Amino acid sequence: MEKTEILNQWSALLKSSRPESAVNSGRPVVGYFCSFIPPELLLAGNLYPLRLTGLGVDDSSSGDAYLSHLTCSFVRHVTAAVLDGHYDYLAGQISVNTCDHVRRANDVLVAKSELGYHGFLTIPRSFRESLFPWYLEELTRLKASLESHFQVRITDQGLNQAIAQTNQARERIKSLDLMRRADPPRLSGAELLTITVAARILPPWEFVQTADHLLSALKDSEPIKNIRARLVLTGGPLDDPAFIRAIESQGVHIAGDLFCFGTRGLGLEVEQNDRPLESLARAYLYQTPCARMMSEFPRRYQDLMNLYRDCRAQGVIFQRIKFCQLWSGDAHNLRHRFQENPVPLLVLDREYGTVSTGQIKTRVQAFLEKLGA
Amino acid sequence: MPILGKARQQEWETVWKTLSGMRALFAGDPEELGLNTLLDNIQQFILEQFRKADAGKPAVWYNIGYGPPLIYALGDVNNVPLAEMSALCSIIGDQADTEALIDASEAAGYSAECCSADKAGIGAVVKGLYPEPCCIVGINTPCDSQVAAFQAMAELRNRVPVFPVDAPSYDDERTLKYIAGQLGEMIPFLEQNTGRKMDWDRLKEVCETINRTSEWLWQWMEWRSLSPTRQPSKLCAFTMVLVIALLGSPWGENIARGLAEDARNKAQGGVNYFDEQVRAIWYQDPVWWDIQLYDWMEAELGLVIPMDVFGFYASEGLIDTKSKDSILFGLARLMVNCGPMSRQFRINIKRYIDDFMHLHKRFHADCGIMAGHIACKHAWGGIGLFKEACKKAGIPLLVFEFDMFDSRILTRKELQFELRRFVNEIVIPQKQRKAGKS
Repeated sequence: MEKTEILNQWSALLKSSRPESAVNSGRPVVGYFCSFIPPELLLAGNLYPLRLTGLGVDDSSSGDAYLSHLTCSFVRHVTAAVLDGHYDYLAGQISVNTCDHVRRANDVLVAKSELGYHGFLTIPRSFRESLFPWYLEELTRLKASLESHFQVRITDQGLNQAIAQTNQARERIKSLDLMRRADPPRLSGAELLTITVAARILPPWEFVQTADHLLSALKDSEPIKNIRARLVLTGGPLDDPAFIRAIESQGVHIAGDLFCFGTRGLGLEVEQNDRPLESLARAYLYQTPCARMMSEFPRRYQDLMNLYRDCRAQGVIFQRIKFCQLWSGDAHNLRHRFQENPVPLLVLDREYGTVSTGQIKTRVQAFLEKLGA
Repeated sequence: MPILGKARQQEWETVWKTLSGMRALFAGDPEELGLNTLLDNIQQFILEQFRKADAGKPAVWYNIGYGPPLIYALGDVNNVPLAEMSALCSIIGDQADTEALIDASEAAGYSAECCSADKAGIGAVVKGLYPEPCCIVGINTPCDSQVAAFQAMAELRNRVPVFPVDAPSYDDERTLKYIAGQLGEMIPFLEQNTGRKMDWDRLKEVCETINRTSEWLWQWMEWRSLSPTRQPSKLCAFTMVLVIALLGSPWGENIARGLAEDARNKAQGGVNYFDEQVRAIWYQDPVWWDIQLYDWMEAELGLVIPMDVFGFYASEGLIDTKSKDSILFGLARLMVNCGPMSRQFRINIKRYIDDFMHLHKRFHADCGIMAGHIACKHAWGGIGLFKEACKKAGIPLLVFEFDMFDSRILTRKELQFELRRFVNEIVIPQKQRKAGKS
């Protein structure tokens, strides 16, 4: 298969409101909201984990009606997608106290959707080791709840198998990410986001199979030329490759990313051992932290700077969805750090579901001029 | 106007001048016992903060949601709530100063979409209005804005050591024990960074002060629940100020006692200061930028607020002071289940709605007013379900967007228009229809 063919196939998957792999899997499909939920837990119970997105959903009206226009448009789109039946093949959903918006979306889904199962986790907001047992207990409770509702057994053996399968998918993503980071690169930032989102929709074995074809195809593909600047993209959740496409249309190459739905969270490696749930808990809790973690900005900053260096980037673009206070706080802190350690920074606020191509292009052009690129 | 004989920053001097002026104006007026006690004890608190700052005592900063009892128990340590200047400038000093602080934080890159209580607080940090901290403590309640503010404080102050308490979104004993465990962990952190040893006997005294304060607040709510409510609506929201800055101190206890005695005197005195037509539960943030608006509501519309979400102090029991564990458990429960907002917003929307229904019934309200502070994402995120619950219960509900510390979002005139229309066109006709039927 050619690179373009595979990427087109995955692009279509992202836009599809009923991904065939999920609908025809023969397993109960369980949607989940956050990177702190290990899909391995669902796979081990013979369930189908599907990361919830609002891609392909144009209308968020029913989400707006319950959550108001003052909340995150990503969360409103996902809520609308469930309420309006785009996810009518779901057997349940799992939410997390990621942020106020997701918590309230969970309230609405519990009260107003017809889903048969609702799971909820509350995740510590600090990496303090003393809080780790809480997270492990949350996963233990989720496991018990899934077993009880779906009448399945989640064994250590099943978990280790799911960990092995998911690790394979993560390895492929790492290899593909290297192709994106290369100079010259063979994958664009938008293409890599297509891949990482697809990895959250497909089961790992199906993803790995296609990813292997893609890796082979990339060896012979033409590298991307005429790059004016290599940048790193960070910030809040981003699942729409069109946003990166708009940035890259100006000659930018997004050489590295650190955001939810991108490679953040897929860089971790989970150990297979005789305590696989603990192994999962450790890997997922201590991944590069999102802005909801109260005392972890220094770690997030350090990870970003390591990425910046490894990608040989010339600047950072920070993006977040309007009304997200957590990530807006991070933008403030990054600006503050970059006063001491000057790194060119462009901050873009956006709405989910529509890409303001013209505005993005103008802002990126101005940023490139500032970089002298 | 100097404070303790020294010139201070303009914002502080304005607060001090106004506070002193108000004290002089109302002193000796028996009708203003509640207000006088409030002003007097806030003044004492501020004086003590300056005394400690001038003497170079360590300062601990913290965010909304975190209460000061552990800091009080450390002795001569300055407790500095981030939102202190937001509240003082708006309620006592000059509203223009609050808005200038909000602008200063936004100019420094802090997001316009965060809570204005935190924005003005960050503005105060940027302008150097608080004594420098030796460490920062906080909690993730009541909202995301606290999480952002906590990290911004740390970043802006040379990354001093921080200790966040993680409050899960559940309402069960496991959660309270988990939070209590973290408070226990926080003690050595505070000791190390302040250089002060935790005195458990003093912490016990602090908790006993809290218990007396709690009992006064519960009495106060009881008096305010009587219809007609004779204590002014504008005194309703100050539980929040007390809980954030003064809980566990004699000043906090004095305020709670003053409010309760004032409410009792007024109820027993039987004098109506306004013609009560409509009783509303003000659910969400008070209009801190124009507290006189409550006088207008009473005088012009006969609209009385017997209780609001900032005033409501839930009955979750007293702190059991018999052991270290029971003290920490009681403090944890207090922090997340009694504190206004933290209680309503920490878990699912059911608690928020249930508390409203409880207040509506207990305070014999005719309607609800959801003063939608635009940064309150958990409240706005629950608006659809809240509206449905009110509709099902037959409770008229006014919903509008505004900002509790920024008068530029919804002006006094616009707010008056909303309130007038709601009271005169919705609530009073409904009351008349109900009266006609009966």
